[in-house]
Amino acid sequence: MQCLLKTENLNYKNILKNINIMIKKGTVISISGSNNCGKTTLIKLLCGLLIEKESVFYKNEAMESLTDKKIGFLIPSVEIPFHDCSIEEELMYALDRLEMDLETKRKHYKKIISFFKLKNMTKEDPAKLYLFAKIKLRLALAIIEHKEMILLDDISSGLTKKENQELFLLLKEIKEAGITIVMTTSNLEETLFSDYLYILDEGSVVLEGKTIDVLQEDSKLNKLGLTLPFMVDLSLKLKYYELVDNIETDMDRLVDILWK
Amino acid sequence: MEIVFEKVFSEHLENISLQIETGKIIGITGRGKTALLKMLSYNMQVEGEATYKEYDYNYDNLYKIRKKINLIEKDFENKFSVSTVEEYIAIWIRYYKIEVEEPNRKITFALKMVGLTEEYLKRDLFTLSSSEKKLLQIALSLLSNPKVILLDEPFIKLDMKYRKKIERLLIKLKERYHKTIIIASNDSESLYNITEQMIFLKNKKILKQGETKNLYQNIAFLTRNHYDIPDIVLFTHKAKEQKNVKIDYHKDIRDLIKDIYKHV
Repeated sequence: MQCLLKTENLNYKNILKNINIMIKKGTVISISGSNNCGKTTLIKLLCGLLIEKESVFYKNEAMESLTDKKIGFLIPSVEIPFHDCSIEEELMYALDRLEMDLETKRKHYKKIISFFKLKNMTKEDPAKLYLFAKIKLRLALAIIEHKEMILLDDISSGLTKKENQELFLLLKEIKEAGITIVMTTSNLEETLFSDYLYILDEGSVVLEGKTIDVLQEDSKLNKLGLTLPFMVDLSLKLKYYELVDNIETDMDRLVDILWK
Repeated sequence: MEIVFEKVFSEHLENISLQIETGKIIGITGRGKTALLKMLSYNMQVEGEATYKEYDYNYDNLYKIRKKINLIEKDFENKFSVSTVEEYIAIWIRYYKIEVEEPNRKITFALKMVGLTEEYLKRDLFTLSSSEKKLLQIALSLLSNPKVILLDEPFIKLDMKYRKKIERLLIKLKERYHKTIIIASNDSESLYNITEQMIFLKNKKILKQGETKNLYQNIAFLTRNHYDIPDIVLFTHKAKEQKNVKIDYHKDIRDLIKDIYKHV
């Protein structure tokens, strides 16, 4: 699998230390850690909002600037204001930058509106939308220009579980369309969606590996101030009492296993 | 009772009737929760019978009510365009016309309550982390000795360490200082864990209110109305429903494990 984006001994001010991250095409990578571990700064460096020379490489080329890269990003703390008075205008403005004829543009627009379930609010002012709708719109804008990769910085913050589930279904389809996803979160529950997990602490990578493996390091994660996802936590404790053999993330299956 | 609303209307919500009991920790969830917090703290126009103790919600009592009922917003905003924490606190006291007898002592005390040291006074606001900002917001709120403290999504963006710190602080404010705490959140886990009473909003109205345990263990109600169910409750429910296991609903996972162990 091709390595799309990587960092080599990335150091940034006194926030990040010696970060070595490799992101393979088509995968989902999670980056987690307690507050102030440097996650947001890392994301900004990965998309080129911040530049550290000769440390971040996109398709083997050193990242020198933000433009021209097929990387979309959604960083809520860098809230780029919406331009226009309606969702429709906002999306059409972004589509207009791509060189397609009007008919193709319209088709593309319809597909996006339908995929992100924004059909009944196309005339609404984006600035006045409720949180989840705003996030979906930003996500649509982030992938609209046929991006190869999207970077998401803690976008689930403030969503209900149901909204979060809907969001992850969208992300699943985005992944299946071949787009590489890198997401940061402070909630380990969300990392279950990813293939590979990096845990940062005070600017350094302290744990990394296949997500399900990293999540079983309960004592290390607890020391870092992170809580395990409920099912992983429950499974590990039940495993300790020899009531189950493996980590089970599906509630119904675990109930079945315990009380055959 | 602290706050009593009888069929109160605002721009966002209608027919709100509730009674906020003194010294309780109350949760609000559902769309409109921020609006309800603003109504309760009189940061939004309300119509109908709304009272805080003996004061009606009207312009004569604007200052009296806002002094005692304090809203801590979701995000910290540097409203005064100053640089340091010290300056911010000083202008805050002026802006909200808070009567403080010995300002320095009071400020140190408020900071200490939330676990911030005096060194924070010299810090630049933009260098504060999200958790530090949240703690500062709470400290500022304490300056006017409020009786009711309302928090809008206080746990977002906080890691476990700070979340627990703030939970403990809120419980201390309730138990030792008899303050009433009202938390608006979508985080069913936190609400189930820390609140005693809950208000569920839907379609601009109060759908249901009552004891946290009863409401969060009412799976049918939560599912029917699309509210989040705390994981520990959902798991217990499945075990009871699917396998007829006689385990109880718990708040702590360790108690759940003990119960499972007994019934396997």
